[in-house]
Amino acid sequence: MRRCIIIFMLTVFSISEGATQVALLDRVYDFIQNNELQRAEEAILKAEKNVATANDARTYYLKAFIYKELFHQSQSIERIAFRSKSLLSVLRCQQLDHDASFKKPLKELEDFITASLFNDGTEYYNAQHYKEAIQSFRVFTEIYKSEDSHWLDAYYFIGTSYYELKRIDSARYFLEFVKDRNYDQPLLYVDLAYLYFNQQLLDKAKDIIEEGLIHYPDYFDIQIAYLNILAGRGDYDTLEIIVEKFLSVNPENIEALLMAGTTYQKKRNEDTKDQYFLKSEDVYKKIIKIEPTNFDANYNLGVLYYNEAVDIVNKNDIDTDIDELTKVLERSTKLFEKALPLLLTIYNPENHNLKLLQALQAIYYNLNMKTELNEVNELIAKLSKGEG
Amino acid sequence: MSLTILRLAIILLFSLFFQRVTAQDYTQPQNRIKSIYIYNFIKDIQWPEQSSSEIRICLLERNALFTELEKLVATKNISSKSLTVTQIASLADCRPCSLIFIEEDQVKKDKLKRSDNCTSLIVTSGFYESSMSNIALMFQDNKLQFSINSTLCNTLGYKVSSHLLGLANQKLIQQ
Repeated sequence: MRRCIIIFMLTVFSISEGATQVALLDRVYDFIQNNELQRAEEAILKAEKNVATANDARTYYLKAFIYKELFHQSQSIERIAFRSKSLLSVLRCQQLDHDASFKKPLKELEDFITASLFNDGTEYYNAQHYKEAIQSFRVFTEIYKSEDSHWLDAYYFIGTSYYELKRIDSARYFLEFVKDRNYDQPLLYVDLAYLYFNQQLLDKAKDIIEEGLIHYPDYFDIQIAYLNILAGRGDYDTLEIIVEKFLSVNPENIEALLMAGTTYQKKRNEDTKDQYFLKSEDVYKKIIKIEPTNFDANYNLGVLYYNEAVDIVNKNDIDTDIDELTKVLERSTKLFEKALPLLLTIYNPENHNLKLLQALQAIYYNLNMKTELNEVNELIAKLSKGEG
Repeated sequence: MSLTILRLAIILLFSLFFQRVTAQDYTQPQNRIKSIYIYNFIKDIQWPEQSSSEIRICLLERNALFTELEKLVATKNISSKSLTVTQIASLADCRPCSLIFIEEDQVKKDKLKRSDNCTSLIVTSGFYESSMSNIALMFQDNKLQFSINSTLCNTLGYKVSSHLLGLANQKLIQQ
């Protein structure tokens, strides 16, 4: 870029007249050619104050160029000020450049500055410095003249930066701003859906994610967001269909399998109990086959067996005779025994999980494993006191 | 010259917010099983002649089992006698009780003993004491099972049905 601009400068000076002005600005030009930017800066500041060159478009073009180079070469915090000075000089040059002699090189300078603003913004964003990202993108949007995808990108990142900063109203404003301008970004639907979801606007969240699915039916994150929003709405009938469709394409996606498991458990009622028990058991077993120590699958399957055992006992009323009770105990005990190794697989004595300990407590109690029950009771008591 | 913008990959991680299921109240199944056993014992055992119009089940504590039993027997009658659940302070108060249910931790805590004039049917849970337990509920093979102390039942005039005797696991009290 630099080579291109210097060649153009030579052309501009060759057609210009006015010895005084040229003498002053020639010195600046020489400093630039020799990469003596400090001296070029001092010289251009003098030229700016000189009546002969103070209102010359070339002065500000050169000034813009010098500060752009200083910005480019500097690693210090000053570089931001250099870029601002370069930008102001570009604007001043544009005001003075009545015959558009500098139109093309000014455009190049402006492009460089705007690109650097955008790139700084993305770097800040990726480094999770969201306030700085917003500042860079805001300046970018103010000087960038075309309302193209870059301009929309900047607004989109402003919106998501606000989201990260938990400034939800601002985030919503900018995300809806780009949505209204048909911004082509699948994650926009995901961001807006979660934003609405967190604002308890559950219908709006569902609508936006379904709109996203129309535009990007195979986009993974949109599908995931759709599953989450259906679960959050408690729309388990639709969720069952969608999660099974998702699993037909991603059969080993552990999170989707877990969601299927909880969906089946939510859908259990008196009529569908056995069917959904088997479906839940099946998906949890599938996860354990893929990832034997998966905490959630082992925990949920263990608790599924435990709860089934409890249900088997509880559906017997006091009129149950002892013959029948013996059969009930056979079945429920087998389920308690099936639950225990699953929970022990994920038990980590170095890192106690209260829910897991409570599930173990329930099983030890019902299997009359007194020593283990006492140990777990002590651990739960410690955890409850905040000692664990 | 066109604008050269670095479009960095912005990695956003989205994951599914599945839920963990919750275990139901853990003492509840055992209380239901114990209640069913108690009710069956009352049905299958013939009491010595009693003039009372009710069958009184006594517990030493007003605990979860007490609540479960009270709820389950509320509308029940056996041989035209209603069933009630009562708390007693100690075995010295056993006189009005048709059946007394004692847990292992209670006997350890209070060093309970059957007094000479206590003729109530005593069901013990988790332990067997030949001078006290008419029936003992105990775990074997991870299941709650029961044994009948026929000697004590005979001494106190209780007639245990052959059906109930057939279902008992006498090995529990022979060990």
